[in-house]
Amino acid sequence: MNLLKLVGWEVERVTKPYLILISLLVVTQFAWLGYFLWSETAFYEEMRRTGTPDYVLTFSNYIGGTPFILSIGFAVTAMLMYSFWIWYRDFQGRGTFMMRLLMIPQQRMFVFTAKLFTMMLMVLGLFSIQWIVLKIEYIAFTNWFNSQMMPISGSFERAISFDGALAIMFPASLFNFFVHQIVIVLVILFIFTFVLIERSLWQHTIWASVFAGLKLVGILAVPIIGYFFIEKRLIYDETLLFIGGVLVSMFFMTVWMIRHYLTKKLNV
Amino acid sequence: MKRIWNVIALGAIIVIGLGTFAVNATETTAEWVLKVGSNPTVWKDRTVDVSYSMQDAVNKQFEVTLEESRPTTNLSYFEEGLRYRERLSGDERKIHRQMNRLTFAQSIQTGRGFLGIGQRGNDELVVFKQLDGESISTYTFEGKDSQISDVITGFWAGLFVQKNELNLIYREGHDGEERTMLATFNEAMNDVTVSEIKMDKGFVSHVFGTNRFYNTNMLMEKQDTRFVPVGVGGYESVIEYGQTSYNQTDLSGLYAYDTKERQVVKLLSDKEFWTSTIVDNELIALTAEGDEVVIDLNTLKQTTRKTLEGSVKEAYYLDNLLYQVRSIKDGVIIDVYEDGEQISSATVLAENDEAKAMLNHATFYVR
Repeated sequence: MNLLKLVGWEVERVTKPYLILISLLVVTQFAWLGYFLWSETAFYEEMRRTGTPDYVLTFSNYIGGTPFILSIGFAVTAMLMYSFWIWYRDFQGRGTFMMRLLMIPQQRMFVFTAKLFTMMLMVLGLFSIQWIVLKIEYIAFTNWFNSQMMPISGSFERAISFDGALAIMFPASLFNFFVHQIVIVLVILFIFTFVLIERSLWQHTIWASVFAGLKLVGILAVPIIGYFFIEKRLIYDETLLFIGGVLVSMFFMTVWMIRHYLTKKLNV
Repeated sequence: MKRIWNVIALGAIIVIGLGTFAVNATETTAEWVLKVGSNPTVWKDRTVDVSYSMQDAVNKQFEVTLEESRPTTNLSYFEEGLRYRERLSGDERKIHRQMNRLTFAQSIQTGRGFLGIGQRGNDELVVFKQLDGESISTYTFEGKDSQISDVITGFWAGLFVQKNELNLIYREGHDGEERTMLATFNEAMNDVTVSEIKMDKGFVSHVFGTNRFYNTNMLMEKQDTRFVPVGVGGYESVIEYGQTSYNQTDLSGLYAYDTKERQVVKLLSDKEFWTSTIVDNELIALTAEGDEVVIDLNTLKQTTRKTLEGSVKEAYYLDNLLYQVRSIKDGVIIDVYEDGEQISSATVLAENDEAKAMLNHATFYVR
């Protein structure tokens, strides 16, 4: 079984919940858009009847709304949860499924690579759908208010760059987008590492998850505490270099730990 | 095979969505060109900062030199780091590092180097200097001393150097009950004396040439002068629904602190000033009528000369040179004046449609 087949297998297993997640995201955002357009139009009409309406809407008003923020928050939470579940579900039913996975003739790291690749496909898929949906929402937003002759201001790019979450998801620089993706990969790697440490220790102690958590907190604490010690001595370019160095070393460290626990320590 | 189709479908969605995002993120950037008409030496090592700002669009900035035009907004982390490194020379890096360790840091540059002041919370007052290329030396005053505590909790207006001693002008109190104070640190910077400055009206709001936080680009204070140019502010009381509130405003005119009489004097009455600069021992200010007023900062002797003819888009000083910016069809003309005489002229032209679309909302500053 090659890597592509493993990826195909993982993707197939998540297709239904993934489609449900995307549907929820899109339906929530468009429902909120419909309500937003309706309520703002009604409010503006009310103002127009009572006096001179002094009211200009921006796309930021829509994407700053609670339902929109919650929809993104829900998708992020779902991805984090699935990063755990993509491993744990293979251990269900006395771990026979995981045993079969580990017994396949290819390297065990193929299993890890397939799961990481699947996670990133799902994350990038969500980013992609969110971008397309945002574009459609902006077209609907401007067309509706223009047809109602209601004043709007601000461009699409300005609204995205001023929004806390969307500015990180879709930065103006393509290079920064890749950096943010590396940070996402790192978060997933940390979750994978946690699961593999916990699954390696679970037959030895009931405190396996605590040990796994402590180990990862220890790894994270070194650069964070180190940063607080040297923060005042660093200036901007050196801080960027430090963060870059930490990200790279964290990446290699988590991959090394995953390899170690997956190939030598894992208990089924 | 069906499994592979799932992957291909997801991959296609990613390519379409992120492909359109990538096209947006890599859109053509505006390009400008700097062409010097006369006296190219004036433009050597000079950069024109082009800044585009509009309510409906994302702000954009560019650096234009004789060699190139490049955007300075929406940079990647890597480009930002490189640009930061490029803009700081060796000694400035040391000062940035020093100021980074402090809160409310201010500094001033003299011919010998930098002197500055900052706080560590409300516990310590730190003064530092980096003179004659030597390493930075600091001295820390404990905030427990009531005099130091008053300095720490005051509103800092700015710094000046007189007889090799660092002086800080600050104010105590607010809402019409403020006092303007002067803290003078001795040359060794290990002792401080505090006195009050006499003011007819208002308080000193800023001192010319003071760098705040991480800036190190204010003009250099080369000479000690009796009069130190300052800005003066005041409070206006507003009564609304029976409640009195206070708004801080800048008072019009030009002011200076008289180091001999220890009071703030008015140099010029309520004329509107576009911009001003200090050259050696002279303050040069450009009035809204287009006159340059030159004031000797030791004797207060004034001379006036006509410099500005017709309307200009912007006018500002850089060291002793006055730059006047005028709009033309595809860009701007920047004329450079020294002592009231034009010494050079250059144009900044929009090179592509993106730049041409920004012209009406762009500003052009030489540094």
